[in-house]
Amino acid sequence: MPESSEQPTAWQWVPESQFEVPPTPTTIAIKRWWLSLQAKLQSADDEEAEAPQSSDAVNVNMQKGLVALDKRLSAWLDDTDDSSIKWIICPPHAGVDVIARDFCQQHSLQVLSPPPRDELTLDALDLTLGEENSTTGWYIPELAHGFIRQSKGLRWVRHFFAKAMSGELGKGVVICDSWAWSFLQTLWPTGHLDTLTLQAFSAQQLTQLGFEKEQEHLQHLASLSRGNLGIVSAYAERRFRRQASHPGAQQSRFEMPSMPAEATDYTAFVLHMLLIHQGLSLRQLRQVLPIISPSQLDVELYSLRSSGLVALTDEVWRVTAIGYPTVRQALKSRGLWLDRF
Amino acid sequence: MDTESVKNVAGLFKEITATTLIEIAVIAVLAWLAVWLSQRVIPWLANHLHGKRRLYTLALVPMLRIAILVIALLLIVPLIIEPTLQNMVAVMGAAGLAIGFALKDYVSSLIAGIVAIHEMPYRPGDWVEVDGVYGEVKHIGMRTVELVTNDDTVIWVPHLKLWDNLIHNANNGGPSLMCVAEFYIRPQHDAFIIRDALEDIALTSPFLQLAKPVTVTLNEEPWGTRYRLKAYPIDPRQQFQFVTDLTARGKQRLLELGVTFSEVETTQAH
Repeated sequence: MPESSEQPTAWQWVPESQFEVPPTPTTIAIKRWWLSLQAKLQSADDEEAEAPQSSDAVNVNMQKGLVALDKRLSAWLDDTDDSSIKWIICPPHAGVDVIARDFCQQHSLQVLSPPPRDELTLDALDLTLGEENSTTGWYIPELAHGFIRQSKGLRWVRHFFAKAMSGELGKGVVICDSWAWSFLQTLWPTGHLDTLTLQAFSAQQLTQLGFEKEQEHLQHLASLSRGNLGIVSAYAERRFRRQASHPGAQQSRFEMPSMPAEATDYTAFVLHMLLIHQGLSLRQLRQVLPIISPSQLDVELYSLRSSGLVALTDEVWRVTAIGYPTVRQALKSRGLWLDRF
Repeated sequence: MDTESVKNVAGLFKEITATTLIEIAVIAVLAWLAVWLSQRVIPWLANHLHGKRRLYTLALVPMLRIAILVIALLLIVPLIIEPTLQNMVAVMGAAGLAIGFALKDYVSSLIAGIVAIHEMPYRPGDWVEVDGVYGEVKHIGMRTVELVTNDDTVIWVPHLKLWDNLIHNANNGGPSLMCVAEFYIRPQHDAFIIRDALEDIALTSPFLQLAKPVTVTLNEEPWGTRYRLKAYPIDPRQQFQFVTDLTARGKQRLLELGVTFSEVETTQAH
């Protein structure tokens, strides 16, 4: 389905503090609660099913997000006297990081990459930050890759913060995953940074972007994803694929993956570590969670993969877009440190 | 005269009929059933929750039980005794005399149990130390409090201990419980490097409650330097694993930094 006509309100870049999660209508909250209760008691086949409806895969044009970001930052970019840093905070799977990187590349900002993650714990860590490029402007493609939550793995990111805060690096853009950002703020608490993120998408804005017209489902998706476009797209795409592969079959409207029944604190720690690092290899996971034995870690990953909550891509384990809402809720209920998106 | 005394005593009580007995039995059974249910359903529900919500839910158990028992008593007493002031004074006087002689400690524990529910020196889910025993409060009964130690040993402590013992409550009804990992190091080292390394050890522990502060203190002893790494786990139940994680990773890091651990027995340090 093509995206509808230009709707400037759908793509809004706002400071992190102004991010607002779309509300969850009470009826949807009750339905979701009831179905989660049913899911515990019955098999998945017995869940509430809906009649199949016509639905197309939605190909969201992120270009409008880029245009909106360009508009938002054009005055800052043109001001040669302004050497401040813009911090772009990206919820997982939302596509904010892709837009931000495109923006930086479009304006020919110099890449300032952290050392490879496996080198962050080396005694001879290279702390060079490429200060010589400060006059042309720079960007960090993903600050979450600049640390590893291990006793020697925080040195580079601390060094970076010290340099950035002192103004030595000059004008630049830092792109950072929201979970990593939340953790890094405990490491380097700063209250007055110039942060930006994409405002959450409400059901109405999702309609503008071309998602299906059924309001209740869109409201459900908007609140489930907390306005995260990537999560909405993943759920819409899954629905589309299922309908394409099983035409005429009934689908559960509110179906979500659930946490493994045998989930423990260790399961939550694995998921939390994957989120704050924006994915880790098995070796790195063992490094950050030495309290979990290697065989137990394998069991946890297998169990999470079977539940559809994590996936292995290019030897890196990541939380899936479909599993993210379930994971976030599970981490919240266990009192783990969350992002604010 | 004797016949008149018997008549006076008998006058305190109502005529006990079969119906009265059945009513009393029904009230007692319903009360017992309600208590039994509350003691199973609420902990079951609480164990599906975490942090504050778990602790607050668990705290409902003793309160609900005392409320049920009071209601049952208020319903039963008027069925047996004519509830006039004179009658109540007479019955309570007699009961007090019997209790004073025969059931002093038992009743003292019961009363301490009621005081414990009001003052809350311990609640279900709290980690307390009473009389040298440290464990999690699993259940607050009428007469005793049930603790489960880290070695999975169940210990019943009479509420009576409340009157004259020090009760150490490590988390006092909340999810924050400070843990301390200790390191004993020979004195020839740079203390600030060690302090920073230990702070990072806590910051990188998955158990750490990030909203709470991490502190490192040290003091010199005749045999070397004692470091105390203080931090809070996410859930009080994780305290032993948290300290294990801090200690294991702390040792590993300190060895990398080339420090030498003291070999003096820690008990001599206190």
